[in-house]
Amino acid sequence: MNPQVLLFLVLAAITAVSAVRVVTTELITHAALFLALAFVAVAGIFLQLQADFLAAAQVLIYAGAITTMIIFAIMLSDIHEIKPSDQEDPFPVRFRRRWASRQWGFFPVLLALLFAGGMFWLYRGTGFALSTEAVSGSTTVQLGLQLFNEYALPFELASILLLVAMIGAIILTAKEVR
Amino acid sequence: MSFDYTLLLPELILTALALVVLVIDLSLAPGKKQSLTWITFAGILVAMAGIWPATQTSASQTLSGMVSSDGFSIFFKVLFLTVAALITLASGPYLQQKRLPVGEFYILLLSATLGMMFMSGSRDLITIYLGLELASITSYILAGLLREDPKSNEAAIKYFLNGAMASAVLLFGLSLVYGLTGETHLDIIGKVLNGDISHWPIVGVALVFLVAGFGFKMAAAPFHLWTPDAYEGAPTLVTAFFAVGPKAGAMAAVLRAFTIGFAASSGRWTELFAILAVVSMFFGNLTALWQTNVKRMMAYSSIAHIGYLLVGVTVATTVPGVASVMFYLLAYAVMTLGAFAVILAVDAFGPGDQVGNYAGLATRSPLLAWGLTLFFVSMIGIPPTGGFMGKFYLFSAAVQNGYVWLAVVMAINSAISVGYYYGIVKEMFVGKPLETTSVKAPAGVTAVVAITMVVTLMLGLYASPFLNWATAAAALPRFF
Repeated sequence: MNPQVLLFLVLAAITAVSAVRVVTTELITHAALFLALAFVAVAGIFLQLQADFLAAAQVLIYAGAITTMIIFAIMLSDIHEIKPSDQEDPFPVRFRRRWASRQWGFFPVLLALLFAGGMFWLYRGTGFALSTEAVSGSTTVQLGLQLFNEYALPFELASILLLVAMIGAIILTAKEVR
Repeated sequence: MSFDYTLLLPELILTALALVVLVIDLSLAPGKKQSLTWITFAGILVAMAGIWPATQTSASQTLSGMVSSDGFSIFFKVLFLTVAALITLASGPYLQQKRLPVGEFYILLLSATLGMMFMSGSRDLITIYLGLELASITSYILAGLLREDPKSNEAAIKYFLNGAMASAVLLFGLSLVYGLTGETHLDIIGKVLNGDISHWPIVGVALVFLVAGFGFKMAAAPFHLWTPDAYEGAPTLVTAFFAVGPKAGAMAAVLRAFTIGFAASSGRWTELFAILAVVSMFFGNLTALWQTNVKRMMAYSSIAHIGYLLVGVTVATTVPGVASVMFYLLAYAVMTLGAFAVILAVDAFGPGDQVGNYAGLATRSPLLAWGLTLFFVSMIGIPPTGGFMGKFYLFSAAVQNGYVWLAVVMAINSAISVGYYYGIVKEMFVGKPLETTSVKAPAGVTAVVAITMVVTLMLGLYASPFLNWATAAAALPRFF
């Protein structure tokens, strides 16, 4: 087998398995760490596609910053385990427990496999518009130029979006609002 | 790359206004922020005046064709700014009474409006998506503004989780389109997809994802699950905004994206929208019959109205189809804002938001009662109101394009909707009031009720200038 394909399959398997573990593990810190593993594996796939900047950003932002934030949130909120409570569980928890249990857990996985298989079958029959230009050197410079020329407007729009999100985070969580 | 400032003037003014409000808010003492209402209101009017230069130039695209300022987007910009202005007009005393953060409310409102303006004006999938997210994320925050109210928390969380999932579905669809065409620009996507490629099964799959994603955002059944809880829990003023703004934004994006980008596959997506239209109309109207909370009832009623609008989207391959959707959106925005202004007055300054709270409103506050009656008459689609003309145009656009069955379904649903609207009207005019004092609606809210009453009647009696405007905006040569 082509080593490229083999590497891709390994990375894809790591991503898929850790994604499943994120929702099935009972320990919430483990869920966060599995999420980080999935992010790193995706970064590997980006590297295979010669998207070096994207891979670095994926590791720095997703595996680094976001996972750290999640773990901080877990530490500060004092919840370590997804425990059954004394009261009857609300519907979403019962729903989650059922589909994550050993008995029924195969069903969501089966559904995901069916979806993946269906999409794979569709992709096989499709001629995607592939780029024929070879990527030479680092993509960072090209990305930067694109971002500040052709995509200047989306870039600015995204910055407003982040500002609004920050304001929202403050007014929804700050102790003293008024 | 050239940047024609005149085409983006309203957006730039709105952004500057949001930042100005942010800074002024910091300098005002708590409880003394009434001036922000008028600054925001004046700023929105200035932004509306800023549309004028764009109508005078022949240029229509700027920033590498990312955004265009054609008649279509100008129509929607006027609509969005009007909505924002009316919400601001009604907001002052309500924010004070509910002790909501004043400055932040206006910043979020303005940012959401900005996002919606980009949804209607952009010709690029990236900008459409960012506009959509800007409008959505601000909406999630707005829904949760009543921090001490568990229902408001629930509204925000449900809206956020459903919205995030919708974004994922939409993005997956967009990524398929990008993979197929190698482009994010709608015109080029339209050209690339115009050929054998449009018959490929994967194009159909991408369309299903896009329809589902946009369906979530505009709360069409069966993607409506978040709507009732979000409407009920959010502050009433915010609910009024939800019922109009983000839906009109998503509708604008759908009209542009599908008619330009996927014109060649129109046979497929029109069918999908026809199914969504039928399900939304029946589900919305039949479920609304059982509601005892007025805000919940309005949520289901809005799902039904999205169904009516989707009848127009089904025939959006023709100019009358697009024009009828635009006209109905105008009528829908006006009558919904009016109805919510009354609901807000009865909820925050009167007895509450249950149907029973409306008992005897006609003797207590005749203006509010007659106003709500007019808006409901318009929503049912009885002349001489904007809602009637809107439904009439949707109906005829559907019939002209061979969707007679869809038009019939629409007529049946209008009849069903009489049931729940009538319940409240009966309560207002026949029910015995528990108190005899009038509902102390603030001047701003009363003004909104009066303005929307006049415009609703105007859209019914003098519809032709508005329809001509919508038709001219929809008939742009580069639109098809």
